[in-house]
Amino acid sequence: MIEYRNIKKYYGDKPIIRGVSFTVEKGQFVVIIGPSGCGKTTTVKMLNRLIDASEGEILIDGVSTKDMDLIKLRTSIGYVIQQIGLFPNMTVEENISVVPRIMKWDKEKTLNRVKELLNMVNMPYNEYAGKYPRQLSGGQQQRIGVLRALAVNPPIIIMDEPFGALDPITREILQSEVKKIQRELNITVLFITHDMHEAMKMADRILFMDQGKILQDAPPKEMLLHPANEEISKFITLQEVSVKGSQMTAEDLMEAVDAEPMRDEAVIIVDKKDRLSEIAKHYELSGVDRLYVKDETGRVTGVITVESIIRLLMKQV
Amino acid sequence: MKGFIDKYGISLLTAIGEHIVYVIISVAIAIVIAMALAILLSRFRKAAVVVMPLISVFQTIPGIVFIGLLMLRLGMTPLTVIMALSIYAVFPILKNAYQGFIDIDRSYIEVARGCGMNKRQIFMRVEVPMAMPAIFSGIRMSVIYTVSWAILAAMIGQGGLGEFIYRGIDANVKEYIVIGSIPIAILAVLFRLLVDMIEKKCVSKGLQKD
Amino acid sequence: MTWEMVFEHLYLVIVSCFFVVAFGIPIGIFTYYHPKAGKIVLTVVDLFQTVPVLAVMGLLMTVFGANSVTVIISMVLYLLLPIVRNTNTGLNSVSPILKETADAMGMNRWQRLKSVEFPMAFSFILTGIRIAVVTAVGVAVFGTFVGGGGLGSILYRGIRIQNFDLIISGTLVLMLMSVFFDYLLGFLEKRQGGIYEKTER
Repeated sequence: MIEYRNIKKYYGDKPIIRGVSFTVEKGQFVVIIGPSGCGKTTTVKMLNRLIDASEGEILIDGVSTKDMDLIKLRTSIGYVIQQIGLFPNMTVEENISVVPRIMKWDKEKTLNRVKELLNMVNMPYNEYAGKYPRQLSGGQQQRIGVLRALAVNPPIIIMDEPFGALDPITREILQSEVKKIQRELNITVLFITHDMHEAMKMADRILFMDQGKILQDAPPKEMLLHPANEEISKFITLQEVSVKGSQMTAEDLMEAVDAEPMRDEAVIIVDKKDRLSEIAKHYELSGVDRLYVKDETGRVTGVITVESIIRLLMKQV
Repeated sequence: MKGFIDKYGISLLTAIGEHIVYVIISVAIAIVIAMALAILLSRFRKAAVVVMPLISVFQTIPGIVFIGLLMLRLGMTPLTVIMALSIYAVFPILKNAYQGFIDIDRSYIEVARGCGMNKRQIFMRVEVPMAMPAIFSGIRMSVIYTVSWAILAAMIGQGGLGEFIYRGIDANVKEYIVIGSIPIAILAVLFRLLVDMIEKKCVSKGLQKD
Repeated sequence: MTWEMVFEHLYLVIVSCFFVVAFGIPIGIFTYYHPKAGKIVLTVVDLFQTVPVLAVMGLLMTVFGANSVTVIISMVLYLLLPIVRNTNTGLNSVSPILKETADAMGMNRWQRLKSVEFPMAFSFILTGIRIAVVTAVGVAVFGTFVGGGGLGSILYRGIRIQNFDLIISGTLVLMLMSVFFDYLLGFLEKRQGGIYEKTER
């Protein structure tokens, strides 16, 4: 578990990060998003102490990063950055072996690991191990960048706009690969992007940052449907991201109410996990103009009306 | 042909030997000094901003002047020649190596730190290999210049292939000039090929052009 | 030291640079249009700079005699490399999109070279000229050995008669000359570079 405790960073007198706190559970995929200059890269670089915080502390599994050995800290956190992350003077194999070498793995163990990793992304060892970065396509380079970060099985990986320079199709493929690997190996990921589509696809949780502060911390759909403020909704709208109707549930469509006494006889109650298609069916069959929504405990917590749906749609325009 | 060998063979071989020794020793000394300075300056950029332009100006001083001045101070000895040649050979290596170090994109250094490399590892595994092509173009220039400037050793009577050229020009004997010039030209080309060969070995294939 | 020597030196530099530009740019253009033959040409030109200029002067002296012609021809051969190489690099670095646009507008090869490629490559070529001129100031020093005159003769005499002042004054004039040419051409280069968007080099 990673815990940021009221982190601040000044350059001279200028505050760059103005008190950031959040926690990331083991195996969670957290995306930090925001306009350029919002402090997202700085925030993440403080985790492996490429940058030191001016105030506050960061704990990993309860231990402050300040008390950890710097090299141990960094080798236990995989680090992937945009495009030029691979060392051009090293072969694919040497690039992947960078961290194992620092940790003094023996040759055979390293070799086996390199083979295993290359297999994972369908780049056969015999064909690719001896190649240099300049001989690879952008997508292949970025794959190797990810593999290098995975080499010693670090529990945490930092990815700073790793796919920013790739073409859309390659980006799609790599996103899926990374997400799959992350789930399989149960890795904790801090991922930076300014692309809301990417955030939607990858994240368990999104942190929206601006001017050194976290403005919202929410799961992707919630951020999209209920942006905390004008700025976030503008950011979302500009990138033309929306939740597909088929993915919406009663919970997304409803407006919260206090448990309302139900006077109406013909009242229909739906489950909050029900999909839009089922809700539409209820409307069609019953002809009522409002549906009540109940949570896991059976309590009514919300109501869906034509107005609530319209208001929701308006937010997304 | 036999007459030629009998007449000049020994002295020509001696001259070639002297020339080669001058070049190798001077360039070796220059590499050590230049690399030390380049590494130092690339770590103290603020000083480098002042020092590097000065070095560019110094470089415009012809080698003949170094030889001349040192000769006046130290007398006509082989040491004078080697010192002058070394000083002159430092400049191209220093300039190129320094540029090679500072041209390395900061993100590579940062990734190296992010991977957990310490300063020494970053230097040995990332900075030096990445600056290698630049270092070698400096060395190549130095070697070529030094072959050329070593001709001036003859000016203060310290041998080398310049001896023949000087004698030839002074006495207007074409034969001497040709005997001196052609081996120098060949020597320069051979030295250059040697540097190219060593470069191929020392520079990562990932940084070489196809 | 006399003014005459300074002018002699300038004469060597300017005349040799005039010829090196006059020959170097067309050769550079040739290497651009004929990459295969161009590679050989570039290797040969590179070789001219590898071979010590004094050796070349010596050899040419046996043909042309001890005079400024020998010095100038040797200098031209020696200085070709920066001009030819930079012309080649400059033309090769013009964006293919621009070339295609020129073709699409119906330009023939000459028009394309004259009004698109050459202007775009010009700041590269200027860099080559700057390198050549500054190098020429230094190389011309050797001229004295084969009867070319110039500031080399002061330095040479200074060393022979062990006159410290003579050496220093000759050196200072030489340094001044290279710095002056370097700044002058550097200034032109910057102004030229600013006309078009900045190109990576």
